[in-house]
Amino acid sequence: MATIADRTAPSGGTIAVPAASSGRSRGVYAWITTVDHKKIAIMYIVASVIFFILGGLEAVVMRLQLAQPENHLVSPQAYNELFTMHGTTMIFLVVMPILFGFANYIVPLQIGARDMAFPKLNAFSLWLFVFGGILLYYSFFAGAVPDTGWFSYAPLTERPFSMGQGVDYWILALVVTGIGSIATGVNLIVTVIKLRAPGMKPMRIPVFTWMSLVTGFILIWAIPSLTAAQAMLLADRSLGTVFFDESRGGDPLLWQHLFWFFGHPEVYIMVLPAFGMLSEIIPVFARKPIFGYTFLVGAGIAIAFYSFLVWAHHMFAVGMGPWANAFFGAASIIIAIPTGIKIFNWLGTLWGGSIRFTTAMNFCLAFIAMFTIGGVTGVQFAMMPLDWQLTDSYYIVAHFHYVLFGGTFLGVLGAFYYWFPKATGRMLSERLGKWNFWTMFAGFNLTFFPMHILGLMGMPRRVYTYPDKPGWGAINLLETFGTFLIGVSMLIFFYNLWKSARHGEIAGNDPWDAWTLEWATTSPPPDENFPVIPQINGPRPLRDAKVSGWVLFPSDETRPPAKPSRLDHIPAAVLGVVVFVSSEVIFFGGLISAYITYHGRDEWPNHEVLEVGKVAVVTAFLIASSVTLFLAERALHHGNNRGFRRWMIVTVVFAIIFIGGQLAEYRTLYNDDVTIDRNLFTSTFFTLTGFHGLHVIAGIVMLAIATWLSFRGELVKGRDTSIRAISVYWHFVDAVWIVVFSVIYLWPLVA
Amino acid sequence: MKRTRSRWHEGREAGGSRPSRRSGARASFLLGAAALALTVSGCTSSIDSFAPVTDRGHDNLWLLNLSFILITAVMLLVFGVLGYSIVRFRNRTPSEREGNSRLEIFWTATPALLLVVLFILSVRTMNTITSGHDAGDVVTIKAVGNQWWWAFDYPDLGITTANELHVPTDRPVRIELESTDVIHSFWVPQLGWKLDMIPGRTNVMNFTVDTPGTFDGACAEFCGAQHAWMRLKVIASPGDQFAAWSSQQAAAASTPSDLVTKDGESTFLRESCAACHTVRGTAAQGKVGPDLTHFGSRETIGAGVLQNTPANLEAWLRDPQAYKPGIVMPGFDRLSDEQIRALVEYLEGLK
Repeated sequence: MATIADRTAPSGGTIAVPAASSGRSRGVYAWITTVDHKKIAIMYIVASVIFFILGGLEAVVMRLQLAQPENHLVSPQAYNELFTMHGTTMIFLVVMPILFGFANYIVPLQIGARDMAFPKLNAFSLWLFVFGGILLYYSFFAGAVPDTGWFSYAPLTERPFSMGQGVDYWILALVVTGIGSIATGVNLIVTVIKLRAPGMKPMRIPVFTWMSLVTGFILIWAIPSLTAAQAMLLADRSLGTVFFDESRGGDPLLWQHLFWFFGHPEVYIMVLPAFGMLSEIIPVFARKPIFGYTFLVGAGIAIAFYSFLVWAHHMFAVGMGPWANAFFGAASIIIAIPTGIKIFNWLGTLWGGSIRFTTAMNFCLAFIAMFTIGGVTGVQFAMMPLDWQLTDSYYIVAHFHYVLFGGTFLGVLGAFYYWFPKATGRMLSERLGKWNFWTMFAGFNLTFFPMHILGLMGMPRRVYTYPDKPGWGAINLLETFGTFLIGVSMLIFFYNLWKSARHGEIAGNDPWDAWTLEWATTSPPPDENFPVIPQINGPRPLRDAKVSGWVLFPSDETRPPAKPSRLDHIPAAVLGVVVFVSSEVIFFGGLISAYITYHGRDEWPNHEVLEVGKVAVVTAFLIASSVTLFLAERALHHGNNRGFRRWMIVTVVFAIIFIGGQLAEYRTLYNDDVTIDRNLFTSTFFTLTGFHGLHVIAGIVMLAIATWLSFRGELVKGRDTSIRAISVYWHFVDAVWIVVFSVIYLWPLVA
Repeated sequence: MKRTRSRWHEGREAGGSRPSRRSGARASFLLGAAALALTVSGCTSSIDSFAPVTDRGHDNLWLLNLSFILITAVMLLVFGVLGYSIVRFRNRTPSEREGNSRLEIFWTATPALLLVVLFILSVRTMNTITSGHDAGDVVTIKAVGNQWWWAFDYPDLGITTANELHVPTDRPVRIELESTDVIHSFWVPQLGWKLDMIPGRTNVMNFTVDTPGTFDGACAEFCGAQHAWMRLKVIASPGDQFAAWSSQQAAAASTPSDLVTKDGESTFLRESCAACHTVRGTAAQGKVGPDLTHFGSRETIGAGVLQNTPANLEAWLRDPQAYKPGIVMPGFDRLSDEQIRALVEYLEGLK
């Protein structure tokens, strides 16, 4: 059976602009400077694998320490550092980036695009991840390893309980990687919205791409909450603010709310792309279309939506009261519904199919079983009183390893076996794959299933040792054996990767007889991915080409006319800024909610030290700057470049007046000894207005650059995407100030 | 030699079954089922979560058991369909079915109904657990978490102790949970549930113990270096025994009767012990560490890290950091052997 590549030699038609990494540079330099999504993806994955080895070694040492009761293999301090680094590494430096890597590689191919929407931003995200990870691990060399758990609860992370710099390394490394992750979210969203091949209507998008799109939305709205919380913790630790310092009025629970508002959607960031992987692999190896595509996609969207409503189920045991407990319990138990739908859809895909037991398929079948186990224990945790017995024990350790390791990670291994041929042109060895799979299946269950029992027996989590109670030692030892089996499995996997990259069977374009666009090009694909942009006729375009003769790569003359879309007049960059700005809503929302929470709790100083009138004046200037910016854009639109520059300069001047006013206000306050570290008011006031001020300054820089570009004649009507993007940002910054001004300055006047 | 398609591709066309896969799957399934059955049957009685000793704990266990039954049913359903598919659906012409709206609505609505029921039952049990006591002779205890020990105060009985919580059976108990430093969590599985101790707040646990005995517990919120050894015991005794314990504990420390214990007491008061510990009836009124007024009556040292025996106590006094590194208590190895032994005698005598 001839494959598509045989039939479609590029003949006429537009060859699109070659990808940014031209053949000019070679070797390591080419990789370091690349903006090509495929190379970036491979680097994401390689770096994740390296961090996986580090995180895995941490786990091995932990399990050796726990193999016997009252063991002395490592000190308590070392153990606490190990479990903190293990969790932080696996979540932020392994699972997230490896999923980003697969999304980076596959999504542009699946939608028939040449690259992501923002290739340079893509590279930026990658290197932020790499350097953030290096920063975290530098803590070992600095002798200041984080040791307060991956969720760093206050007040344990405050001074005086954590005097070393470990927590600071944790904060800074994750702020760095977090910015990269938000950028990845923006990239994924704009790519899928704007760069789909003609004919790829939403209900024809492959499920993996759908899940990547949805994950992008979760990323941009979840991570800023963590960033806000980390900014507050850093301020507590280094500037003396009191956000979470109970002895000075702060509330430790504020940390938990902000953290878990990020933390719960985070786990769906870590699982939805894996759901997408399964939804690609299972149909191909069951030789059946995915069952219930619409419900599957809808369920993914529902999960993403609900994931933002359930965060406090991580806080059931803090004593929030019956109404809060009931609300979060109800929302959490509802999430089981769309998740169950997905499981049933995969089973429905298998049912009546003709299953091929490739290693990729085996991992997906195991995922279904393991994720079901993790999912049902998750339902138990949604039941509030059961959570009160089970949480913070080894039962929860079992639960999350079943969903993240038995779920996501097994899915990722399946994705390796499935897509490795596409990226390298060679097949992974199925013989080694079988050994990889069965040792992993046995090792994983041996390690993590008994943890359910330990939890029920009363073993708490995050303990460097435990007393010699009946059964505890034996079960722990069994789990340690399982760890070694997992290690063996991963060694087989690495050997398979290494050997097959060199000597694996040549794969060809489409070794699996699959149906989505990535298989319609060579393995590996050329820089520009496809000879011409494909034309799409259904959800399985390659299948349409194979079975009904659909022409996937038409020449210009035979291509049907493009259908206009409502989003055509919005350039990608502008859409990107809109998406980015929505993430900033969450960041500022975190700071504003801290302010509102703590409002009115201080005797003095409090809002009464503020001079509303003076700030109202500079506020007027800031709001006016939005008007002048609008006038500038209008002038540009009429071809009046000088008018544009004049209004831009006025805009910049107004913004500088605003900043000047803010600095004058800060100076007055500091002269009156109203410093940031006085109390709740000063902590929240200076942080909120300070971050806003930094955003204004960044905007001033951008506006100045745009003005300069206009002086150079480079920013004119028709080449004005940059100013359109900047103006979205600027209007947003002004809108935020209206909210901040109302909350801080106006609210006390009416209350 | 290059080939443009994989062996898998050709194998698909050639057909043929894979017996090794089928027997591998069946063997794994049987092995797993056997392991599970063995585990469940042998262990339930020795698993604390299945052996509650309070009224509310029994309620919670009922809900837990119900949840296990339901999730087992779900797992059997999913594994059954999965296993059947693995065995049955190979080497055949696959169907082209892309969906079945009725089925999809059914498998959305049915779990939704079951989950609503579970939620309602959860709210009911939650309310039971968090309800106050009906009128009765409530024993109130203030439990304060510290890094890394528990302070227990019985304000109505004039008792202050540490690390061991004595309660009467068949009488309502009310525990007020607080913390002096970081977040801890009070967890004794046989009581039925846990509750956090958060600085700046008071959380309340109400229960009545129905069975006498000793029940193990531990801090369940990571609280720093020695979280692992912030363990506790709850000792429930019938009314008369509890009354006897109470009056003994409420009394001031027993005065030393012989030379050795007198020597121990004076060493205790002379050294830095009194700066951190309280022994009621003496000049030692320190509040940094656990109250030692009746230390001799406790089962463990250091919140569970050592059994309370004279030999262990001596080792502990010489170098507590060897057993619980990171705590603030210094070692007293510089004292002479006689002084250490006198201290041990004195402390063990504080019954």
